Amino acid sequence: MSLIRHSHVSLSMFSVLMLLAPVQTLPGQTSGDSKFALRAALVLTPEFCSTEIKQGDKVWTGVEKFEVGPAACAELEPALQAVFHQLNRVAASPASDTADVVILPRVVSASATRRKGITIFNRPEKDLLVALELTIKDPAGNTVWLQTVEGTGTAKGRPNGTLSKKDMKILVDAAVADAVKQVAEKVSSAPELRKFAEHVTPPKR
Amino acid sequence: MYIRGTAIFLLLAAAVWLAAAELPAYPARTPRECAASAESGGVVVGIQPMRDPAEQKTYLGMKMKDLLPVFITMQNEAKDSFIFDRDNIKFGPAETALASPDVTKSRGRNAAGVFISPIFITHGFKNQQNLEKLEVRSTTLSPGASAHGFLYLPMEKDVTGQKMQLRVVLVKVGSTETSNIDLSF
Repeated sequence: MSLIRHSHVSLSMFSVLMLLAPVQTLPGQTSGDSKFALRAALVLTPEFCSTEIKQGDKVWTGVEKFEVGPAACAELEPALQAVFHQLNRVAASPASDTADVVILPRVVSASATRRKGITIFNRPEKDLLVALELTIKDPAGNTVWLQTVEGTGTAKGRPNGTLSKKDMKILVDAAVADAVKQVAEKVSSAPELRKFAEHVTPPKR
Repeated sequence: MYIRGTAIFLLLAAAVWLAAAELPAYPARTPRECAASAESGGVVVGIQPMRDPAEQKTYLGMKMKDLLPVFITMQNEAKDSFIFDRDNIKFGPAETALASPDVTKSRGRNAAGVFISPIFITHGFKNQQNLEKLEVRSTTLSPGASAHGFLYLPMEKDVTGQKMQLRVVLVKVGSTETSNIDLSF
């Protein structure tokens, strides 16, 4: 009983201390949120947005097509808007004075497998691995940050291991969403970007 | 007829089971513990070629034909950050000009060689994904950070047994300043 009372007291004191503690803003990040005080241009070219990765062959496996580009184009913008104070989507690299950083995504690879479940008894699960690379450059074209992430997704296939169009979309969307979530987290915690943002004048609100 | 059907089913089940088997993790090592290592600007890079087919089978799930898996590990001991871009790696026989290897294309060719019969289809797909998961990726090496993974280098038959050279190009973040790290094996 005494132990419980002590725990309550400790918890209350901890809560008070947490309320009194000043909210810290990391250098290069805007106050009130954890966004970088940078104007970013996200370059989503038509080629990137239509990226398809094919796997398999016509004779044995059939050709599978993973429409990674459209999924990545839909996911990247909202995810990175939460990281930069200002983010503009552009279709080509912008003029050097319009953005503090230029973000260039690239689909490195996508490969699927079917490995779980014996096909006669149940629908086998299919895994997709998508490697997504993000390069962030300064207006002079120098790379400030680069990272590759691997997103995974799983969907249930037909007994013969193939996927319907609907299930394929679910699989690709899940893998891409995972990759984009990871890359956004890595961008927001990148010390190189924080350091870079310190040297750039914060945009006017 | 019944026996033949059962045999086919068991064969398919075995193929799926083989495909599902997980591979053991390749033992991690520091750059200086590798067969070849070099340092430049505070970044240490080590490489460990995997020539033994049995070792390839154990850790990569397949014996590689015309490709040499090379484990590469990097440690940034400097105060600056560096960009490691896999596309900037150069490789060739030690006494010739270094070239960028077409790693992806070669791996695809090798993986295609696995697709001998439908029984091994799932196995082949899994192998391809395993190779991709273990591959070294382009990254930013922040101070104190490390990165590692495999490179799958195309090996021509006429250079087998020759001394090879691998060049890792690192670019200092936010600049055009590069460091070339050459490693022989």
